[in-house]
Amino acid sequence: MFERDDDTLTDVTARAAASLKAAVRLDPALDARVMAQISALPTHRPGGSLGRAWSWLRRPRTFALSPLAGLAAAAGVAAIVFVAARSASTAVPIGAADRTAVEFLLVAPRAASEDVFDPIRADVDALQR
Amino acid sequence: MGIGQGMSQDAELVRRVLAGDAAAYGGLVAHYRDRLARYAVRMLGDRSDAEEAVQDAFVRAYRSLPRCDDPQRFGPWLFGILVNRCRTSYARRARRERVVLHDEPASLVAAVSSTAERLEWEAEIAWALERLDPLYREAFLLRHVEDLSYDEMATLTGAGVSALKMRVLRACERMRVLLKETNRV
Repeated sequence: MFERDDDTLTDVTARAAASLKAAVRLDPALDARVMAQISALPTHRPGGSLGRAWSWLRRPRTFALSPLAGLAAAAGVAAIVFVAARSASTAVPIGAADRTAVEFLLVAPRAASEDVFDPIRADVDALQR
Repeated sequence: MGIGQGMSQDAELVRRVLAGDAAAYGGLVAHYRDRLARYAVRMLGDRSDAEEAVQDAFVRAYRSLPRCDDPQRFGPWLFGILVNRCRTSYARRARRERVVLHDEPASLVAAVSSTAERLEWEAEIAWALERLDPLYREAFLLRHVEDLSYDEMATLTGAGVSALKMRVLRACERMRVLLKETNRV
């Protein structure tokens, strides 16, 4: 039966496990067969600095994080999101930055009279001269 | 993990192999051959199938070596390849409906070096192991013969820790019943 939480065996299964731990020897020529197969395969080539960098980037890592540090990190992320959201709401409307003051100059030496309208703002009859 | 003994030495050998020194792989083969052989023979119950599985695992590991993300963990990574290879081998054998009751060459070796009683006991264990569900047998061997932790087993097999604990429990229960059938308990 299991004796403790670590499931250490104590009965006949423990004797069986102990017997099964005995060394097993395979054909001594196995190593030679493996190496013969491997020598028939293409040799690995170092990938250079780019390959090493790629390998370094792909290698998984384990980070140890205390609950306090985890909370601090979460608060930091929340603060960044909050600030980003605020700055987005007070941002200049799209297109405002593209506005440029343009001066129109009308040359009409033979004109007898002038009448200037604002074609967009129809409620305004004439612009200041 | 017990499989990962000599990790820095492994890492150095892996680096040499990846740098083009294929002969350095011989050091890794020599280091892990016996450990892999024990698992494969116990799992498959047949010496020639086990040799084939171990050889294939070594060659597959060599081919995939650039994908071994952590050379210091080469041992567990290699063992994972063998566990999968044994599963495939067992499934293939099941399709062939082949029944192997005893590892005869092992029994012959034991006969030379052991008493008749010990030989009989080993045959009974082999008989009981053969009758375990392969998943239970795998869990029992990894836990109680290879001495892996449940986390390590989960990494190797892809199964959850609670499922593995259940498999080990069931394997022990079944082993107990089977060995009792042999009137040795």
